[in-house]
Amino acid sequence: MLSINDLCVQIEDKKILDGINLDVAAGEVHAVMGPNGSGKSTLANVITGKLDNLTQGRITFNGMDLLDLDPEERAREGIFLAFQHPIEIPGVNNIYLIKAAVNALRRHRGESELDAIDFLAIVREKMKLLQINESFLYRSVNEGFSGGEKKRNEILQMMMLEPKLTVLDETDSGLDIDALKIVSRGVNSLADAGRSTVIITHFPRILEYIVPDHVHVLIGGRIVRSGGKDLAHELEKYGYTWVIEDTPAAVA
Amino acid sequence: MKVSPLANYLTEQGNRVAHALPGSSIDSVAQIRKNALARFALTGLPRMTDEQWRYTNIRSLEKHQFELSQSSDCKPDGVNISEWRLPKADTYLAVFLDGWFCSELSNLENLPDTANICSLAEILEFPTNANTQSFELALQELRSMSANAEHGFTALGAGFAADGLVVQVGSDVTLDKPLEVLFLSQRDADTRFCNVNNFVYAGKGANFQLIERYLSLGDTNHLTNSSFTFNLEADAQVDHYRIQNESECAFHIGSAKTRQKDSSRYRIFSISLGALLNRHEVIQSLDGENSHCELKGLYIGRGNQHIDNYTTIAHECADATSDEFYKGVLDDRARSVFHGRIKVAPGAQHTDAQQQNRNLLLSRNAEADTKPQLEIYADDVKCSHGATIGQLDENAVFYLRSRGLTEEQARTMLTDAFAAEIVNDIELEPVLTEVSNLVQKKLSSGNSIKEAA
Repeated sequence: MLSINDLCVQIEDKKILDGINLDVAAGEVHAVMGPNGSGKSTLANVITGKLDNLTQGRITFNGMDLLDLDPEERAREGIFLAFQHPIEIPGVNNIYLIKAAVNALRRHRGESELDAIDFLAIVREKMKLLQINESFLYRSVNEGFSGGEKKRNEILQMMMLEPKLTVLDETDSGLDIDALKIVSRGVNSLADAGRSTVIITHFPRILEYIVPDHVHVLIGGRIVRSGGKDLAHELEKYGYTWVIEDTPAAVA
Repeated sequence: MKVSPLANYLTEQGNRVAHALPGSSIDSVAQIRKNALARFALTGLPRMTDEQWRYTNIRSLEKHQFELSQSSDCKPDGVNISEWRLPKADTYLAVFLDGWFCSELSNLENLPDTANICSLAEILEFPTNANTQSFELALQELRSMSANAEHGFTALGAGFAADGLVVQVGSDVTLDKPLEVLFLSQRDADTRFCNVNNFVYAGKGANFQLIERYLSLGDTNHLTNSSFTFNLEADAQVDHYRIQNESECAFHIGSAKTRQKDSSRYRIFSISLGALLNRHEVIQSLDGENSHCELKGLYIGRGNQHIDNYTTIAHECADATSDEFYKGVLDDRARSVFHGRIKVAPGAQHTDAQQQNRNLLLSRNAEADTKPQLEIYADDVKCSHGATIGQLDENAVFYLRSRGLTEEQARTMLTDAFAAEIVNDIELEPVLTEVSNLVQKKLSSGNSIKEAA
């Protein structure tokens, strides 16, 4: 589904990503873990189109060259980013945005727009799963939301848009255990053989709820180690320094 | 002081047409016009060297030789008023064509006996026992305009005093329907000078809504010089909605001057969309304790439009409150000026005055000037002001695009949301609908949003 080849990103003089290779097949869950400043969010931003200053590399998504697509075209092809810091948009109702987004994707797929009643029924069902109050819909997007509410709102949007590829950018940060379970339940509700997830995180805890098939450790802009879900447990035990010491190339 | 060719032209014209204006045979009326014109001849039109006009250059206006609209210019035949009046609204309707009241297009029937609404021209031309009060009110206000003219356009207004509306609503009268005052410019209004003066008196405890609208039937470059004065007795409540949507070639100078007594409330929404050069002044005098005023403004400019909002709120006595919030969206090469003066007089303790002005620039060539001016001569007061000039938040644009909206949709959604903060406060349903529609139409017509697509 997603194939990243030798991706390099440089911002001013600094190499942020330095030769990333990553293949995510349909139905797979990948975790990308790493300490602060290792380039995790940059990777998310390149996939969703916020950044386009690549110095090198290729990204394909279901055979398409992703770098040829605008952010909205990527969204319409089924890529969704749950933001690390969801943006507050005063004056735009949450429900208005979600409806506009759902209908933009439906139009792209050649489907008719959802009518107001069907739309409400679907969104209410998803909100129930995420334990979100209905008033949530009529507030301005993320404005005055708590950290946890913002993250739930991201997952609500994800559930409504039903993406093929979801990138969770530190969705777990700032969530307590209960909220983490709820959010994970939301993500898992969409899981099927045709959808993939990339979880970007510092902490292994979320991986207990959304279980990865592959774990990658990103340090200094490079994937220095990949493994199965057990790798996350080892990281929990020994920390990132263990990987750095174990992999001299990562320090370079 | 050097007086411009246009000012000379207008002075000379004023003297020439004086005999043909309503009430010219009445000495007191003729004298007011004469004095006002004499004052205008001295002051001329405003210059950028005048502090109050520092950011507004009226050069584009001075290129034209404006001719005062004659009552014979008012041609109601063929005007289908249902096309122009506020849709889906049940209102008392007063229609003006190029500055002249047009009774056949208006509908002021079934007003309560205690409310009196009539044309200024009619009062000046035919003073009767029945309209003595209105006549006296009009004369007093015109005299004050002439004597206290802040600038040339005010003196001009009194010097060419012709028509307008005189509204008197008696004590404890609540109007069952809003009063809609519609100023239409006709298709042949090029270089026409439409001068209207409107005087509104709200008796003790009176309560009503007034909708002031300006529309052009064609793309004409007429000059509108329009004044409203409001006098609110104690406990009166007036909601004033002003929608200026004239041709984008037109010149528009307007004002609302209000004096308020104890516990009265005045609220104005000033929506400025039209005219090449637009200036709207709101001059408030809170003369009574516990009086309250709210000024909300929204202006949207594109092309070469220039929009100037000049506001003054004078807290003359204790315990009065004011709340002012203006927002503007500027595209292309449009320019805006916001001047917000708040004066708190000595002894006006417990004043609460809030002021905000926010501007959104959609194009690199747009410009907004904002000038808060607080003069506080009392010590126990709460006054705050804030002004911002900014662009759309690119992070928000990306956020919306990442959800599948096009860049054009994203920018439109964010710009609409910026304007909605003012628009959505409009309580009167048909006005809310009309303003929402006009604002959306205007916002989608600017070039920056289109080019982003």
